Amino acid sequence: MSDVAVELRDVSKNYGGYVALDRFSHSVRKGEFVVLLGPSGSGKTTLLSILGGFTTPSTGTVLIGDRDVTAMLPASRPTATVFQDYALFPHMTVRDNVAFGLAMRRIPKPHRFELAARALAVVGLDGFGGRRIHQLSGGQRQRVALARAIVIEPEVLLLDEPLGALDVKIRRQMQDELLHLQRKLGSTFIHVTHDQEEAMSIADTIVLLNHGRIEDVGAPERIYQQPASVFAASFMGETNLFEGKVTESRGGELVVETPAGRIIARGSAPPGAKVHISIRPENIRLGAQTEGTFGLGRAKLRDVIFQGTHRRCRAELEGKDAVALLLYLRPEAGELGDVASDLWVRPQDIALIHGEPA
Amino acid sequence: MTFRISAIPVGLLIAAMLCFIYLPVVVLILFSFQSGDLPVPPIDGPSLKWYVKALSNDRLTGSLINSILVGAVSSAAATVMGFLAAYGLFRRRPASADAIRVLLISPIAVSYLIVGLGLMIVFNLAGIGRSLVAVGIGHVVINLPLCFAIIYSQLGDHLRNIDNAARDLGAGDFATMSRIIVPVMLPSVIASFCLSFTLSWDEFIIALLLSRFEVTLPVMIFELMRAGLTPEVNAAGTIIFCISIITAVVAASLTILRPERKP
Repeated sequence: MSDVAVELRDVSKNYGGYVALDRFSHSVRKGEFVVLLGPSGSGKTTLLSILGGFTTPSTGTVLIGDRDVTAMLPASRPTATVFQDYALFPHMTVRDNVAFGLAMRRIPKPHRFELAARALAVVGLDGFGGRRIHQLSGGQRQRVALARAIVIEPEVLLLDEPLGALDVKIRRQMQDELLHLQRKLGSTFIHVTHDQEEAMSIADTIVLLNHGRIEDVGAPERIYQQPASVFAASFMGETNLFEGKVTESRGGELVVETPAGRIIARGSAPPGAKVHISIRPENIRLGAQTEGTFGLGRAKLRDVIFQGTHRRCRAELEGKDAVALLLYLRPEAGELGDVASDLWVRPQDIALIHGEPA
Repeated sequence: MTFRISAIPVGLLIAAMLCFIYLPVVVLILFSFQSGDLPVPPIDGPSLKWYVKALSNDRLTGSLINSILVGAVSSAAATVMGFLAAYGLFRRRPASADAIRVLLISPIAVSYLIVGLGLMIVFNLAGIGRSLVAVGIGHVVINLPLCFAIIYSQLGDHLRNIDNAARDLGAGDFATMSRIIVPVMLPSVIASFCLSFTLSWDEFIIALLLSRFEVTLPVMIFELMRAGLTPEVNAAGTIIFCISIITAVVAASLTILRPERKP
């Protein structure tokens, strides 16, 4: 047995002329928590639906645990889906909902009710078995849907924007609980969301999709700090993006000519190559520069907005073409105003993005 | 001074409209309690004697049972077939779904007379004699589009994932239908049965054309009337009306009047 839980080979899906998924290949390790992230229409939900067996791919192969499941019905797959709208059975009690998959597997009633009660306890709904679905809150329904899916012990749990309908506080809490649940069960989770913060807080691996293709794959920190594409850089959070041209390449460092001046970035590219530089707003610092850092020049701060953990500021670099910068400054960063300040960044916070294939 | 419609009290307008709609029925019911021999004024005092006469008329009670039988069996058939067609179309979503839907629903617009004549010709060719079975088949023909339309309209998108969830958890076609979809759809299934029953119950033209010795209640009343108008006909009509109202109310309370329950 290999440790590959899911493998997709060249999977495409066309709806008429519209390409929802374009030759997608990726494999997922057993026990991995993968988040399919992307804007609406990026193909992430189509992908999940193909994994669950509700959509047949136009081309390509889907393997789950070494078995080709491309043409297999959802019922025969070792997967279970938690649907976006929960899709609970409204005419049944919570217990009957959770035990439904077991009933379909012909597990005798006393035993399946015991297993259902245990699954409900795992999701924190101990003693809710006798309730009706319409008596539950959104968060509780979410948990029932989760219990109903995990009780059949799927090898791969598929979650289709399961937290989308919950308010922020409960969503955060459910993110933590999902993570704990996944660690506890040790099974593979594939989770779809359009919320990059949610993705970063739960994923081992983020698969970032756009227009049915992979933009970037990797650990959340890597994608956030060193995005593979311009799309990845801007989708993962606010950033300062500069188009530039490599003018010099020396021992792992590049000199890039940008509208914001000459920037030294780590990486390799031939001189003359077109690249982008991305600097996250929280990485631009103000005041006395420390050694080994890179100075961006002097800038005037404008439009300071207090946002709790930071102040979101617009700044204009002096000289040149008054290039605009976005900064997140710590609230105690102090005297802001018309006085120009020195801005600097650490070299590791300057991300180099190779030119977009046109 | 100009006349303004809004000057008429709304209550008066409503009363006039209700009067227009219900007066014939009220008159029919009123004269079923006539103690005289003719259903015309003056009313000679309330009496149940025409009800006794109607209910002790074997031909009338026989046709009443026929009507119940034809109504129940044909409505059950129309409901089952309508459900299967609606669910199949909902689930498979073929490219031609819209065309199929239009084809299935449009017979509602065809007059019962045409349907009845057509069936008469077809049954003649097929060697099926005029009988209650023929009437029943006729009623399935007219009620199937209605049952389909009612049930299909209630198969909303929220059911799509519920259907998927059942299959995801291991349910096959039959288990998904019998344990999930039918129970969830039960109100509209019962409503379409009731509505179908009401229509079959007082359907006259097809029943007249396709029946022979054994007839349904509306046909029997028509025959009684040929012998002359008596309050017995009013009594039978009142009974028909009451049963229609009861089924219609059941149907309405399960669909239109049902309180919204968020899923």
